[in-house]
Amino acid sequence: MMGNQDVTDMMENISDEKFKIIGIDKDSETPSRPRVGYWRDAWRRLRENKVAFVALIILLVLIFFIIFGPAISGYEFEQIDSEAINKGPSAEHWFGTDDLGRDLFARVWQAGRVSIIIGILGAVIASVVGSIYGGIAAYFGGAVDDIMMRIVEVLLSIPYLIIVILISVITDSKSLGTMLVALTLTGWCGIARLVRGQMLQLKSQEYVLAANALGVAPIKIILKHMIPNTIGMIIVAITFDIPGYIFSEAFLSYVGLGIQPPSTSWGALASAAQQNFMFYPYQLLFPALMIALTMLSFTLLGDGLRDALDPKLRK
Amino acid sequence: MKKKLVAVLLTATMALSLAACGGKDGGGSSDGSGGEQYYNTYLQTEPSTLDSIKGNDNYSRGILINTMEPLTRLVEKDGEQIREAAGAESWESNEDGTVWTFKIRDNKWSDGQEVTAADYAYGITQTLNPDAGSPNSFFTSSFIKNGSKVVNGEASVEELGVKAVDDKTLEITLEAPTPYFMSLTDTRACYPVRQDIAEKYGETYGSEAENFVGNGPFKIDSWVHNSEITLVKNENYWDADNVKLDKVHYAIINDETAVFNSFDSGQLDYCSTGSEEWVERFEKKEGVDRIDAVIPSMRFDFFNVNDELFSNLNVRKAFVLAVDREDMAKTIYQDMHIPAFWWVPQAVSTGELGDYRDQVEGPLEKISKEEDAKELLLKGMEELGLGNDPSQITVKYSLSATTQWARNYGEYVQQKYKDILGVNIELDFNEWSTFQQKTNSGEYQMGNMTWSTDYDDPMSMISLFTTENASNIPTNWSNEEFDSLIAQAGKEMDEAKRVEFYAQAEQILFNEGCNICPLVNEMQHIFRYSYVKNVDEKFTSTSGSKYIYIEGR
Amino acid sequence: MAKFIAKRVGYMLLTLFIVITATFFLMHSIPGDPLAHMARNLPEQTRENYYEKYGLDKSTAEQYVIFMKNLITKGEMGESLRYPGREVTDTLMTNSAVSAKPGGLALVVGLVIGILLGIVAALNKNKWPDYIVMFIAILGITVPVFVLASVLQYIFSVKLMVLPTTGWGSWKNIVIPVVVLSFGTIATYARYVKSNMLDVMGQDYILTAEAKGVSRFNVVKSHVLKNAFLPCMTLLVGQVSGIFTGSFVVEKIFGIPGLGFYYINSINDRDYTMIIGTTIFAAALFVFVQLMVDIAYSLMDPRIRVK
Repeated sequence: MMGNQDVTDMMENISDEKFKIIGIDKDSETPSRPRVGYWRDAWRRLRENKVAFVALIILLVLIFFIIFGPAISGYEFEQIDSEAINKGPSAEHWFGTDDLGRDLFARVWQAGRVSIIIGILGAVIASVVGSIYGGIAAYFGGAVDDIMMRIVEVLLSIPYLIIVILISVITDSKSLGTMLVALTLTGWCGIARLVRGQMLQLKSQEYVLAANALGVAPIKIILKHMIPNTIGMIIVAITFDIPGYIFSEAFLSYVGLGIQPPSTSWGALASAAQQNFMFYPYQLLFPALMIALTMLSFTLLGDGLRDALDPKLRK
Repeated sequence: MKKKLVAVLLTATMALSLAACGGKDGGGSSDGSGGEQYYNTYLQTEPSTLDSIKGNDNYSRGILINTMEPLTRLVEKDGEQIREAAGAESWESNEDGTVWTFKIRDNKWSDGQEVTAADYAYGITQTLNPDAGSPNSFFTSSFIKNGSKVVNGEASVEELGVKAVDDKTLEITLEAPTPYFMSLTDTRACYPVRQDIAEKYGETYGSEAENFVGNGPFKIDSWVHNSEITLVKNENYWDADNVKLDKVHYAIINDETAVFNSFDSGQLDYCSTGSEEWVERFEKKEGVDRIDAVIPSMRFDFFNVNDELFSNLNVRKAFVLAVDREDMAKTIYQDMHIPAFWWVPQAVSTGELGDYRDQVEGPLEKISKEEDAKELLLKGMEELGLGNDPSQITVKYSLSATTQWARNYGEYVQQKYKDILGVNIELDFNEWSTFQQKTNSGEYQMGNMTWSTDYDDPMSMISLFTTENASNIPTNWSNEEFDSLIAQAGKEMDEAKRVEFYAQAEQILFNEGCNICPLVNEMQHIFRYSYVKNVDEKFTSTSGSKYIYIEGR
Repeated sequence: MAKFIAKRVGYMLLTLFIVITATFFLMHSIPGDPLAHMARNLPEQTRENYYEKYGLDKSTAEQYVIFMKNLITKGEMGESLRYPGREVTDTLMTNSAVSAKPGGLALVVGLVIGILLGIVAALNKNKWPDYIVMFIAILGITVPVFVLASVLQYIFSVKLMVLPTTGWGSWKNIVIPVVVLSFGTIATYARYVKSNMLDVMGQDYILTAEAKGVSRFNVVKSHVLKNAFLPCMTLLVGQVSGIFTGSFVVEKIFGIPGLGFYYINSINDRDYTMIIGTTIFAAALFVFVQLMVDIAYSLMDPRIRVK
């Protein structure tokens, strides 16, 4: 067994020639990779997520057709043709025609405009309103918070459907605008609760406490910690909400409160086709497929975004 | 907190926790008690009430015709419709036809009590009593003596010309001779009602199976709201020997496709459809009969004559003539209904002379060949000082439904008026309740509705446009000559002369009114499994399921 | 605890009060004639009698006072305007019990399957079971309910003829409705449970437990599950009230005599008493379940100690 003495002896036996000066590595303090910002990092991680990326591409394709589809079809979406009623998909009518002989390819994309606009605008409006509301409630806390949350509770406890129907009946209009108002009137409540909860949680996080203790200015805490930690969640909530609004609109169409003709939406097309779907399945297939694709894409994209935007998962 | 509300919440929570325990095996709809004498049919909507005084929907009518015994029934015998003695054994009128005496038959209520003339008198009287709030008073108010006065609260109920002379004799005095009075005797305004039962249950009379008695061929066994109604044979019924069915089962199904699917899979013995696709499908089915029949019902547009644009006759006429009824019947109705060039629909008869439309040509047929819609519109616009550019005109078209079908229909109309007249149509979809309010208060330009006859005489349809009745289809149109023709027809006992009055009135309606725009005359397309026998196919029949039997199910 | 509950019940009543008041005035402000279902126009005198009987001749404020008085003192909501002789409270009781069956069953089925799928997905993150589970979960909610319901009805009732198309009473009647209704719950819970579990599994105390050498099974069992499930309970509030308010489509297509029918049709018919009744029912249920969840939450989560 080697004693301490032996080690010392060995050390002494190492000759100086075995050492040489290699100079100072000045780069050792800087990261080996270039510094990546929050958004760029998120984008990189999103691209790496194949599922989410495919979803994004599907969405872009859908949006392309929604913008240019009606023009490509060569038909007016509202043109009635008594001679071409309920024709299946063919070279002339790619998606077939409906019960008034209207070209479904044109109609599906025209309808997509309404559905997508309702989906995106609805979710964005609800998120913005909800975030501001939730943020204020969490920031002020105490009595203000209490009152504001009670209001949310009241709104949430009235059946959503009754509110939507009442609004569309009161305004006596089924334009895009009133549809949006009706759908978002209580739609923001969920997000408000979410944002408030997240903000409250963040307020008590150790790193925020630490930052506070170190004397970092509140504005800097909000900008550096609170916002990055909630914005991701809000974006995710938006992507998850978009299909929800498209669905709500579809439901309203089903009960006869959907968008006013001649405008149409995927929900309106699908509910029109529902009655006769066993005879003309393609009339139901195409709008339902578009709804499904949109749903699927936004949901998968939302999942991807959640991972990509979560600061905790940053590498 | 509120006791009942708590109870509601508790049941909800309990039912929720019990939900996992699975459903009970209730009596399925298809297997009747023992034999094959059951008939499975359906209602599209829940009946509002079985109180014949308060309810007036078609759904309760179907139930009531089976559970109540009207004074008479219109029955099909060897292809002919005859008025058969039912609740009344016999009847006679005095010489000028103003006093009618009915001998009430020996019959029993489902609870065993004797049926008396007083039961009929009570039903007829209450229908006209404003305190009872019956929506059916229009049937009889203008015919029975002092009817209108009673309805309007100007005379007491005792002054009404309805009297139970003794237990078995009912006497009805009319305002004036009414040639078609007998066709009112099987409407629900003349159903019997048991005063003691109606008063015992008060408001809730007829709202549940238990709160109701009938005296018809069937009695109510159960009523699960919004789900099903089961009728069973009434052994107390006077003619029980001739009632073959043991059970009539009504499924209440709101969804049309579900109705067709149920028929397709044999869960219903009967269904009625207006869809070409389903017709084709059922045609191919084995053992299924198809019955097509024109029904006395019209789909039409109507104009608000007080509206600036539609105050002009030429404009109204232009809108009436602009409709390509053949194309509409084909494109919108898939040829399931027939194009209508008339107001009094087919399948309305004039006593012994038969179908009115076989005798009188539809007025629009001639007019539409002679005049041009676009020219009329421009002429009318000039008269109104609206220039000569139809594209400057926007008309609000109010529909009485928000269904998918209504949307499709609206879009069609929008396109067609634009193509033919060059005017813009703004579609206004309403729930029925809103539509009623808008049109009644005159806040509309043009509307769309359906109307079927209430009783089997042209009077039922044509009299809707007299000044007195104008509120039913609120076009605000009024014409003295028209009014007087209708008044004369109402008293004319000679059938041929009456038809002549009707024909003249209908001509005026289109020459000088054009406040309505007939579109199609409805048809019904019925499919029924062949094992269902002896069904009265005529729409106006009031035999219900009394004579139906099943053979070889 | 008692104080906490008392306070919450107080809030509950306040919420209900506001909901009732708001709905009452809103619904009276919409155009439409509650007597329009009587296809024909009623004679003037009859109409007046009706208005008097239902108190519709009074001002909205007066009607409100009368309604509140009856509700608070007698627990009565009045008679339906559309269906003469039917008490709104009776209708609510009968029909909510019906809705609760397929709806409750779907909720249970959806919860069990959804949670199981969520756990499987979380434990196999980014492996094929995760992808399959998430695909199934999302697929179920990509199609509108009315499409899914009619397609399933066609396949099983018309083509295969194994289940009745419509009706109520037999267990066969609720098979497809339960399947259709549970899809949403499955999807919601699968995704929610998964993300919560992943969240919890990244926490320090889990790392500590794993470092101590606690087996993976035990870590999941005693730490992850409980902490991941707690937040799921908040979702339950919406799901439970959705049983009664969100079932319209399924109930219509399958002819189930539930409460969904009245939510839509009472508004279309301007059946004022029924509108307010269904609203009160839904709101009361919502705040009640919310309260239950809050209480359960405070009992189970040690971090939320109620003073």
